[in-house]
Amino acid sequence: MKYRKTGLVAFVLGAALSMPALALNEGTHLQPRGQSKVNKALAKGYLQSGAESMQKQQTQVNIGSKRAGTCTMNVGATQGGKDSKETIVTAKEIINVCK
Amino acid sequence: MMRRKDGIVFRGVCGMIAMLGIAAVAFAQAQGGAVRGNTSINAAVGAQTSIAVGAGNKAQSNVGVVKGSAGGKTDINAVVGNQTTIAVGAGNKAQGNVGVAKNVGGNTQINAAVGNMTTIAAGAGNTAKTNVGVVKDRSNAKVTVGVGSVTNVVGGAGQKGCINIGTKGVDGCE
Repeated sequence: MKYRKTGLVAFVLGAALSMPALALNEGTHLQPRGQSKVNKALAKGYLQSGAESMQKQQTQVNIGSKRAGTCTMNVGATQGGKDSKETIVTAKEIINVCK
Repeated sequence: MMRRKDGIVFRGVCGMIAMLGIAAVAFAQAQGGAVRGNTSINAAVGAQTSIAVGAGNKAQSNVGVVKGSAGGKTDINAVVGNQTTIAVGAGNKAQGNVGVAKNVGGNTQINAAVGNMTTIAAGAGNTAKTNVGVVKDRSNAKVTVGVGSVTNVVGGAGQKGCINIGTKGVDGCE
C-alpha cells in the first residue's frame, strides 16, 4: 500500500515536471529537433532586431531548406496595383519549416 | 443472415449520408468558373483534418474558397478553429486554404480568422502550402486576417514550403 502511494506521488510529480516542456511546444506540432531549430531562429531574431521589435511582430519564423527547395513566407504582401484596398493582418505565431 | 446484411447496408448508407452532411458544412467552396453574379460565403468550421498517404497525392483543406467568377461582388467570411492537412509520400502536396479568392472579377472582401492551422508534407519533391486571406490574380480587394498559430512544415529533397497570409497577387509557391 505504501509503495503504491509512493508510485502515485512519483507519477504526479513527473507529470507536473513535464508540463512546462509540453506547454512550450504546444501549438507548434513540432518534434523536439524541429522545435530546437525554431528556438535557434527566434534567438537569432532577438539578437538582430532586439526584444521590443520581436514582441511587436510577434512570432514569425522561416527556416529555409539546405537543398534546392524554396521556403517562402508572405504576410500582408500586395503586388503593386492601381487601386489596391487595405489589408489588415494580426498574427500570433507563424512558422514555416523546410528541411 | 439477411437481417444482419441489411443492418450492415443500412449503417453504411447512414454513414455515407452523415459524411456528405459533414463535408457540405466543412467545405464551403465554389470553384471551376461557374460562379456568376455576387458571391457570398460564410463558413465556420470547428476542426478540419485532411490526410493523404501515398505517392503523387494531394491533401487539401478548403474553407471559404472561391475559384473563378464571372464578375459581381465576392464576400468571404471564413472562421476555422483547428485545421490540419497532412500529405505523406513522394511528389505529394498538402494545402490548407482559408478565405481564398482566385480569378474573381468584381470587388472582393475577405475576412478570415484561424486559431490553429498546420500543414505538413513529407516526402521527396513535395509541397506544403498554407493560404489564409489570399486574393490571387487581383489586388483590388479588402482583406482582414487574424491568425493564432500557423505551422507549415515540408520535409524531403526538392521541396517547397510557402505561407501566404493576407496577400494580394503574390504567391511564393508559383
